[in-house]
Amino acid sequence: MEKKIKMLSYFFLSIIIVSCQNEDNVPDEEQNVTHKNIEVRELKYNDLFKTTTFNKAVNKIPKHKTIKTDAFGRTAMEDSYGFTIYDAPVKVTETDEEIVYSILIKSDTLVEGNYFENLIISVNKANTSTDIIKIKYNLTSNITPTTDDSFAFSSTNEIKYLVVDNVDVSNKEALNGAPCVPYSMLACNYGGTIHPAGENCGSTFVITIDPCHGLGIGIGGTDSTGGNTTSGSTSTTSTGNNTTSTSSNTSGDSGSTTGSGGLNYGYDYTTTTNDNTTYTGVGETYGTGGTTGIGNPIIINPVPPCPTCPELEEGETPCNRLKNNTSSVAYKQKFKALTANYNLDHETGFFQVGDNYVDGTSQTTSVTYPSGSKNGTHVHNVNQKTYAGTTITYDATIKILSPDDLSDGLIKMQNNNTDPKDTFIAMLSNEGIYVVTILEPITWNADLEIKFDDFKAYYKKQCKYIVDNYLDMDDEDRRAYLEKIFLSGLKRIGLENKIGLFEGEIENENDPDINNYTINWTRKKIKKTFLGYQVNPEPCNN
Amino acid sequence: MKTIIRILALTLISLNVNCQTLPLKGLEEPNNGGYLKDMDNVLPFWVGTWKGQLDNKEYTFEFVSFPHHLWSFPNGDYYYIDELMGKFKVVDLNTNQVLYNDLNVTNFENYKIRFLSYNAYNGYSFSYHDKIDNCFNFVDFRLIKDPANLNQILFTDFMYDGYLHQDCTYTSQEDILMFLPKVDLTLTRQ
Repeated sequence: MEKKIKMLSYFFLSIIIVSCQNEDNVPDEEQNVTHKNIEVRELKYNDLFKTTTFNKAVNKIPKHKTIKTDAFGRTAMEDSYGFTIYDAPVKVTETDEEIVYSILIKSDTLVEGNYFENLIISVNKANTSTDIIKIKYNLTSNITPTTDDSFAFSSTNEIKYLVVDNVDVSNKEALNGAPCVPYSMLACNYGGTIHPAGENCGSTFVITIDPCHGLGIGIGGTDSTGGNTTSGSTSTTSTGNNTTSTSSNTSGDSGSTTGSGGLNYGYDYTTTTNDNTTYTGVGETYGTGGTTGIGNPIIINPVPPCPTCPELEEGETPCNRLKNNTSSVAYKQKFKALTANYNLDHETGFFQVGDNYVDGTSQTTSVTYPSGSKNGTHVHNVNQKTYAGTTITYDATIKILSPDDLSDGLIKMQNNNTDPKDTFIAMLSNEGIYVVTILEPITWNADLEIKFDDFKAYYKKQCKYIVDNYLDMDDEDRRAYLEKIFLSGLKRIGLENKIGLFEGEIENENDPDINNYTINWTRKKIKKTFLGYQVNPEPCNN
Repeated sequence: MKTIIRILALTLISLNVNCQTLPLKGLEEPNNGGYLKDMDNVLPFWVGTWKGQLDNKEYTFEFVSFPHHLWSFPNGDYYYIDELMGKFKVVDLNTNQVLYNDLNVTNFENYKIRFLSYNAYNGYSFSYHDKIDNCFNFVDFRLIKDPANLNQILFTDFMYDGYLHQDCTYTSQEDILMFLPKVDLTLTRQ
């Protein structure tokens, strides 16, 4: 009986949780779309290159002899991909069967235009068979950001097959010798519009396109594992408006994947095949059965060009800027001296004016910076207090940068730097060292003013918990909590890509030689996951 | 059968983490659509009118609860939260002149006093958040509950907590008009 009650409790608990959704004037954030076992994440090219899988895959990109001329007019034969790989985040899409890398590139022969190019490397996890394609997105709309940190655009696409099943086909044209491989785009409708899935999309689905024979477009069903595995022919069957149904014979491919329970979503899409035929498909009425028989499509996941890409060229990364701006002997001496001030009863700090570091004016509590300051470094000092009616003490100071440090310090100071991205405000405390920097110039206006006020109200409410419940947490808990509040607050007012947060750690703190005194920085980034906001550290490779 | 029901229950739970109900006193924020609920039922105590006198001025505070209030952010994040908001009036008892009065506000957005947090020592933190005309002036204070006398509370720990310098015509925060008591004040329930 007891067991039955326990089991029923589980069930009713789940029902209660299910029924707690409240829809008061709030639009549906996500529609009920197909979940597939697909994971999307973004990684740095240089970090990925350290992994064996990626390294081996990159080595399969065909190289060709090209004549290069250097600055002195000397020519030489070099092995070349024929394109440049940008230092932008690489999108890694992983399914049970394959791992796919989408990399931003630019072909050497192309001039700047309203397009961008990606290199797609798809590796079969079981047998390491690799397909590599180059896809050129000829934009027919602007690239606009979406609420899940992805983007939306429309384009006509051109595909160049470089490697199919480990075979170099880069010198062959599709339909004229090269095998033809269909491709799938991983899509998301978070926020209501269908767009390429980013890593924050909680619910993805697949749009499959056969560029070799026309357009077969549809949305995969919920069950991609239920298909028949047969060798031999593959066929595309699709229903709906303006779609072209066709069949192909691709010997040796992996057979068919039968979806089930397809959804009533379509995707306006135009594609140009390699024979320059353009097909336009609107899959709006495609709703049942999913796609059938597209054997082993390559998953593409567009990587747009900067400024959508948050990372910058090597040498100008936010990490490098911060390191350069905080590594001089003069700066480190002032910094080191400031770390002795944590227990003063007022804030202290120094600021760079011109080429000099000038002490700020300390009032009763906060430090005031001199006009013309390019950057600032100050202490959030210990502020011991006692809870009213008790003898229990707590520290009333929040040990991270405040919204005021941003609105009245960082954003104002950016105008005093030739390059606003050199602006930073550092905060030193007994519980942590943090810096905020300008990643992209920020224009102060009435709209931002209101948003900042929202940020401050949110920050105050969340931070007060720490002060009111000081003994419930240790310094590590407090740091983690504050980082999350600060970064999620920035994200919520749309400044997460304009203001960067770094944590500092001192190395050789007691070394009398200031040259050995080092501040190591770690960038803190926030990501929205299915389970909420999560802060990820990215060491600056000091 | 048992296993199926267990799996079903746990699956449904895991699929609905977006719909969390969490305690108001806690570290975590709920995901979109979730609810920060006054599970300790601390807010009703404050609702109503409280009065006190200091330096020949009469202070009248009124607290109103906004249960399950939608808190949304510019990026589309939102959740629900039990809120407690406050308004007040100050009268000069010498002249009978009303120095400050916002007791007529009814819309959530127009309240300037907001409950923030509480601790295990009967301390309840509030913020006073002024409007743009007063440079979004921020002040913190605490109200202390006396378990031995639930009809009296102590207004204490008044502290300036920053303001927006950008475009502000005041040269310092102390110059911005402030009618809250800056020293301790006992308030009595009406």
